[in-house]
Amino acid sequence: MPAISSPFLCGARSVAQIMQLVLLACLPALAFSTWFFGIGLLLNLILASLTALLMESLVCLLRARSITFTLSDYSVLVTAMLLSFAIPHGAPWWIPVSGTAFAVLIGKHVYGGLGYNLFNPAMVGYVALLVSFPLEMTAWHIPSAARTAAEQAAPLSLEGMLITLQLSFPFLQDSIGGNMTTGADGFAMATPLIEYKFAAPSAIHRAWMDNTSPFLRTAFARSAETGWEWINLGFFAGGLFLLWQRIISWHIPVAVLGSLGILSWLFYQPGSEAVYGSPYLHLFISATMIGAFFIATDPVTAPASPRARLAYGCLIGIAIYTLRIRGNYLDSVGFAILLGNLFAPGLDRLLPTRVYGKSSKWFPLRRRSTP
Amino acid sequence: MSPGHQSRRPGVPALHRFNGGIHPPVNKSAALSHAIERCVLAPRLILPLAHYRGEMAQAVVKAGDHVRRGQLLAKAGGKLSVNMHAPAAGQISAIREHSFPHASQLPVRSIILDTFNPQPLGPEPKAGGHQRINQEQILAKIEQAGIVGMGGAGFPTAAKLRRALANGVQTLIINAAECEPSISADEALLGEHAEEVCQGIAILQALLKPDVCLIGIEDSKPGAIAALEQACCNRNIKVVVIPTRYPSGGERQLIKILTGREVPSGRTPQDIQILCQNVSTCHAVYQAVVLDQPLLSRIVTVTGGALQRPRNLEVPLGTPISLLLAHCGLPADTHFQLVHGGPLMGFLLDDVDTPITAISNCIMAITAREHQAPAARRACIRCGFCAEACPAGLLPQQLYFAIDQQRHDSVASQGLFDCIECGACDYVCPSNIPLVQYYRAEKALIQDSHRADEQAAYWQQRFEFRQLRVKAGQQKQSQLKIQQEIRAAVARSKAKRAQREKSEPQQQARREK
Amino acid sequence: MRFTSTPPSLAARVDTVTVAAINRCLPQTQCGRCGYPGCRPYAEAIQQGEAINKCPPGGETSILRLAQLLHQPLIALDPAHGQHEARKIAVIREPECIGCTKCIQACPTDAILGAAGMMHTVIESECTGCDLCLQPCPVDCIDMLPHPERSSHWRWPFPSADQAGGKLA
Repeated sequence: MPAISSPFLCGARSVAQIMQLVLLACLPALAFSTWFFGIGLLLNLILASLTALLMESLVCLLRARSITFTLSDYSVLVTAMLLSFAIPHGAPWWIPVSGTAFAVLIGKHVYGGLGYNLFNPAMVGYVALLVSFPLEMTAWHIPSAARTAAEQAAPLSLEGMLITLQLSFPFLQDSIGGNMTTGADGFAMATPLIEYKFAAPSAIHRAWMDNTSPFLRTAFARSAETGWEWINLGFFAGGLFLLWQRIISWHIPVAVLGSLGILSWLFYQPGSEAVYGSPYLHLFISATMIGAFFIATDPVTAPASPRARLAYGCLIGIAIYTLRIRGNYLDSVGFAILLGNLFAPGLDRLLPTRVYGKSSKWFPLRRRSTP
Repeated sequence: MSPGHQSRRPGVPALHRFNGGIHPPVNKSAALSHAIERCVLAPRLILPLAHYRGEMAQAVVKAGDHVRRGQLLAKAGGKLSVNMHAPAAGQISAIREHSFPHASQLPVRSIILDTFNPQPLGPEPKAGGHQRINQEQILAKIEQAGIVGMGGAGFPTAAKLRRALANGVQTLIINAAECEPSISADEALLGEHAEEVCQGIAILQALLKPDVCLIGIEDSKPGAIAALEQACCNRNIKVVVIPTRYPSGGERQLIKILTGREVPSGRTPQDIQILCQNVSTCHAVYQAVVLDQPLLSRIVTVTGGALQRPRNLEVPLGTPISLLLAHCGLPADTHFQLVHGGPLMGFLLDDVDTPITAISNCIMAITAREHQAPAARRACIRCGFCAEACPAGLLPQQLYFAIDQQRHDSVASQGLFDCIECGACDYVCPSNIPLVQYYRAEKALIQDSHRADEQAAYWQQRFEFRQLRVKAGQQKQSQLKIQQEIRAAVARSKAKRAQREKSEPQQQARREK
Repeated sequence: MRFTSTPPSLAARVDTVTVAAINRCLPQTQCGRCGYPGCRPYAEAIQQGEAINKCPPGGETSILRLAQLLHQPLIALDPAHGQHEARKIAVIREPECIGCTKCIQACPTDAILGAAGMMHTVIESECTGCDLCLQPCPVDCIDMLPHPERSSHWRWPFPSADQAGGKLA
C-alpha cells in the first residue's frame, strides 16, 4: 500500500460547491435585472449556459477527459453567468453564443482548463465581443416600457417578453405575432453612464427623499437608471453573501471599491463643466459591483497573498477610473480586470505573505515579550 | 498581528493571534466521558530501539535475560537517543526487527520482552523531595529516566533542557493546548493528575529559573482548566486560556499566542530564551525526579468509529496496539484503518501489533463510513484558502506549483522548511490536493540531496587519501629499492674488500715465497 | 527540464569555473566509467572541454548541475558509458571469500576490510557502489545489492498525479 500522508480530515467546500454558491450569489442581481428590463438577461443566460456546457463537453472529448467530471465543477456555468450579465439585453442570439464559445475555448481551455487560465474567461469573451461587434455590444434593446414608470408590468408582460424574444432571435419575428421589435427602445448604453453622462444623482436616493409616494413603489418603478442601481445593489448583496460564506476575502473588493471611490471623490466637482461623476455613480452604476465582487475575485486569475490582493484591487480600481474618464470604451471594468489579471502572478511574487519567524523590512520580529 | 482580546483573568498577559488556523470538528467527548483506565499488561512487550531521527539506543541486555520492572534495557546511543527501561518484569525473548510507529511502516530493531504473569511485587515508589537536589542531579535523573517530548515529536527532554539552560530561559511555556481534534490524552491527564503535573512544572522551574511560567490551554477544556487552576493557585504558574483554533498547540504558534514573539525561521525557541514542554512530559519529569521512576507508561487516547468504548488508557510502553483495541471494544471482523496520532498530523499503520511508544498520544481505528471515499482531485483553482489557513504564513499553492515544476531552489526560498506539516492547507483545499504529502516528499528530497552531497564529499576525501597513501607507498617502495641497492652495493664492495684483504696476505705470502 | 544554449558572453566564463566546483557536481563514486581514473580527473577533463554526459552514476542530476554550472545545454547521458541506476552496495558472500585481498586493492574508498588469507567484508557506509571490486575477485563472491530500506532513510513518496488528499481510501 502506498504511503498516504495526513491529514485524514477534509473540511472544505469542494470546487463545485464554491461555484454553486457564486451562482447563488448572482441571483439577486438576476432577479432585479428581470424585473426592470425583462427576460433579455434570462435568454442570454440560457444561450450562454448551453453553449458553455456544449463547448466544454467538446473540449473534453478532444482532450480525452471525463465530460461529467469536468462539467461537474460548475465553473463553466459561472463563466456563462458572468458573461451574460455583460451582454446587452436583446442582443441577437449569436452574440452570447459566440462570446461564450470564445470565452470557454480561448479564454479557458487553450490555457489548460480551470485553474490554468491567465485571464478571466468571461472577460476574455466580453472583450472579444466588444472589439468584434461594437454596435451589437453597445445597443441595449429593452422594451420601451422599461424606461417609463407609467407601464408597470410591461417588461414582464407577454408583449414585453415577446419583444425580447424577437430581439434575441430575429428569425422569429415573422412566425410569432409579427414584428414587434419596434416596440423596443434601442439606446446605446454600455452602461447608463452615457445616458446620464456622469451627472445623475441616485434614483433610489431620490425615491427615498420623495415623500409624496411610497418608497418601494418609486424605487421599483421601472427606469433604466433605477434598474442599474438595483442590479448593482443586488451584486453588492451577493458579494456580501460571498464574503460571509468566506468564498472570497475582503481584500480585493475593498481595494477595488476603495481606490475607485477615493479617486472619484477626489476628482468630483459638482456643478463644474468637467464632471467626472459622483463616487456614488461610479460605485453603484455600471458594472462596478459585479467587477469588484464577482470578476476581480475570480480565484484562478487573482493573486493569493493578502498584500498582493490589495495591490491587485487598487490596480483594477485605478484602471477602471482612468479608463472610464480617458478611455474610448465607457464600460472599462472588463479591460481593467484583464489588465489586473496580467499582473496577478507577478504580484504574488512581489508581495508574498510574511512567513512565520522571518523578519522583513515591513514586519520586523518582536525582540522581547512584555509580560 | 494585532494583540488579541484581553483574557478574563487578572495578571494574565494579553493574548496574541497567529496567522491562519482552522476549526475542524472536535471529537473528544467520547473518550473523555470516562476516567483513565489501566490497560492490562500485554504478555509480550515490544520496545523499539529507534529514536528521534533514526538514532538507535544500544541494548544492554541479551536474549534470555531476566529483567525486573524499571531495569535499564538500552542505553542512549548518541545525543538524540535516550535510555530505555523495562515497563514490566519478564524475560527478553529476542532482539529483532519489528514494526514500530513510523510513517514508513518499516521495521526496526526492537527488544522483545515476554512479561511474567503475575508480576512480582516490587518496592513501592516512594516520594522524595526534589528541593534538596541540585540542578545537575535533576538533569541527571531526567536523562537517566529516558524522558522524551511526549507531545509527538519525541525529542530527548534532557538534551532540550541542557540547551535551554545554556541559553537561559526567560519564559517557560507548558503546552496543554492539545489542538488535534481527536486527542484528549493530555486533557484526561490534567483532569486526574493536575497536581502531579504542576509538581513536575515546579521542578522545571527550579531547574531553569524562568521569569515567567505560562500554561497554554484551549478554552474547550473547562474541566482541565479548573483542575489546573486549583493546582496552580499557590504556585508561580499562570494558566492562560487561549481560543480553540488548530494548530494552537504547535510549539511556534503557542509561543506566538502567549508572548507575541515569533521563533526566528530555522531556529529553536531556546534561541529566544523560551522553552516549551508538553504536560505529559512534565508528568514524566515528576515521576522521574520525585518518584525515581523511569518512563514506563503513558496515557493514550484510543478512539475512532470502529470502537465501542473509546477511552483514555494508561498503557505500558511497548504494548501492541491490538491489545488497546481489544480493551476498547473492537467488534470482530470490522473493517477499519489504524491511525497513529491525530487525524490531522498522524500517520497510517497497517500492523495492529505495532507497539505504543513514548510519542504515541493517540490511536484511532477509523471505519470506512467515517471517511467516505476521497472526492476526486481537481486542478488547483488558486482560491487562496490554503494561504488563509496556513499558520506558518506560507503561500501553500505557490509552494505546490514550485514543487510540481521541480523548481527546488525556489521551493526552499519560499519557506518550505518553515512548513510545520499541520495539514491546515490540505484540510481547506477545495480541489483535494494532497498538499502536505507534496511538502513532506519535497523536504525529504532536498534533505536527501544534501545528504548525498555530504556523502560524496566524504567519499572524495577517502579516495584522495587513498591515492595519497598509494603514492606514498610507492615512493616508500622505490626508496626501499634504492636503499636495498645501496646496501647491496655496499655489501658487494665490502665483500670485494674482504676478499681482497683475504687474498692480499696470500698474495703477499706468494710474493714472499 | 530547462534547455539552454550557451550565450557567447557566458561561454567565456566557463574557464573561470574551478575544477573543485565541477568536481562537486559529480557523485564521487570513483568508478572510472567515464574513462578517467576517478571523479577529479574527469572534472579536470570537463574543465578542458570534455563532454558532461559521461557519468552514469550521477545520471541526470549530475548533468543538470554541470549544465547549469557551465552554462551548457542539457544533453542526455552517453549510453557508451553505461546506464544510470540507483546506488547499490557491494556485499561479499562471506563463506566463499578466499581472502585474496584483490578486492581490497581495487576499492577506491578503502571500503573493504580484511587481511590476506582472512575473510573480507564491505563497510556499507563507505561503499560507493562503483563495481570495481567485482572484476578482480577470482571466485566471484561479491554481489551488488540494492540499498536496504530503513525507516531512518525512508522518504515520503510524491503523491501520484490523481491522488486526492484529505480523506482515507
